[in-house]
Amino acid sequence: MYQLTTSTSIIRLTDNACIPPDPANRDYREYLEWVDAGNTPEPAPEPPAPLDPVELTPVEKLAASSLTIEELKQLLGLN
Amino acid sequence: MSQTTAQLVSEINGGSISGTRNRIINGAMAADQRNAGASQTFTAAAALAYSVDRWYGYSTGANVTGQRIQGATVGQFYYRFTGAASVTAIGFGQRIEQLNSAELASTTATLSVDLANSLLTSVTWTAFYANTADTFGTLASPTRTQIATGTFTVTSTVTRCSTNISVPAAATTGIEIVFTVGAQTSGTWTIGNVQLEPGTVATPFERRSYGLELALCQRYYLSYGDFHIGMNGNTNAQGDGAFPVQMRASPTLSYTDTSGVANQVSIWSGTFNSSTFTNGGFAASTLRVVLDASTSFSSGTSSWLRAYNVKLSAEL
Repeated sequence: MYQLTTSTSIIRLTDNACIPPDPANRDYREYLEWVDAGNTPEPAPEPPAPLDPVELTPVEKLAASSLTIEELKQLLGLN
Repeated sequence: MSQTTAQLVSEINGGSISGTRNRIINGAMAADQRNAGASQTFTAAAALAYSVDRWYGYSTGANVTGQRIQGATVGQFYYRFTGAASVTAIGFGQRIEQLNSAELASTTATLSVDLANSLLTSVTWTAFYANTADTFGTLASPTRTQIATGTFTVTSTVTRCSTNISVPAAATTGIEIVFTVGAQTSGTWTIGNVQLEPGTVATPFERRSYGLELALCQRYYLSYGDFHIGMNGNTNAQGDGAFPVQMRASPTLSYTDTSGVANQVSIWSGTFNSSTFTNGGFAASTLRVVLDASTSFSSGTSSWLRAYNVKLSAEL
């Protein structure tokens, strides 16, 4: 049993080894024989959804900007 | 120069007493990158399984175990199978690539081996050549042609056995040597110091340095150890390294995370964490692991990854 990847490599599911598409590689030749025998590899896995970015709190955003409250007030003309 | 001297020089330069005359790699069973001396189970009727470097084994009828064992002195080893009930056959062989055996075609070669068996009294040897270059097929569907076969009479004491083999002109595509026994239903079968050399004389086993022998083995199999992979943003990572010797072909790659889970890597972010990232591809002339850009490694964190137990195989 094999599984395709998003690249040209093949995953051998019995041991999860990654096989390159090199005709000199015995594992790849065995894969081709397996396909020639009428078998079909499993498709490449669907890429998972990207993780949501971490939502910072207002205090964390202020800390990340290195501004003090007084400096922020000054910038906004609130003094 | 007399004829005798000319013959002697010929022998020294390319004949039976020349250096690196043994076409078998790891004939002394010293290199064992896969198991480091630990026992290995050969599953009955399964595909051939590589064991000590360059050597494969198989069994029929029942599973057997095999293991590199210490010889008489430090640095000397044998390979030993332990029989089991219902075993009908055990095989142990090596495939020699074309580049290292083609010059034996149309000559007489000599096969020598140390053998012992605590149950059986004969060991069969068989020589083959590949039908196409370096392609011997599988146990179930071999693509090889038999050159010759014969039997060695063995006892429970390790004994040196040898035979001449007339290598045909067509055998320029790689040679395979296989030793087999029948119903090893108990007891042990011991093999060591295998040598295939040009000429008709069985010379003493050529003992090469361990470093040289290991380098010869690493053309076919490499236990790389741990491997660092740099991240490029949150979704892309790549690691590159160099092989100690050029491998025979683009190798099959396997690795684990820190927990030993195959085909996963670990992320460094204060502690090692298991991840679920699938290998996205690699090149083979140098070690390259590329992890697919379709997966996020972490959120907003620059980090690095580590693959453990990296192993590469370019066996025949």
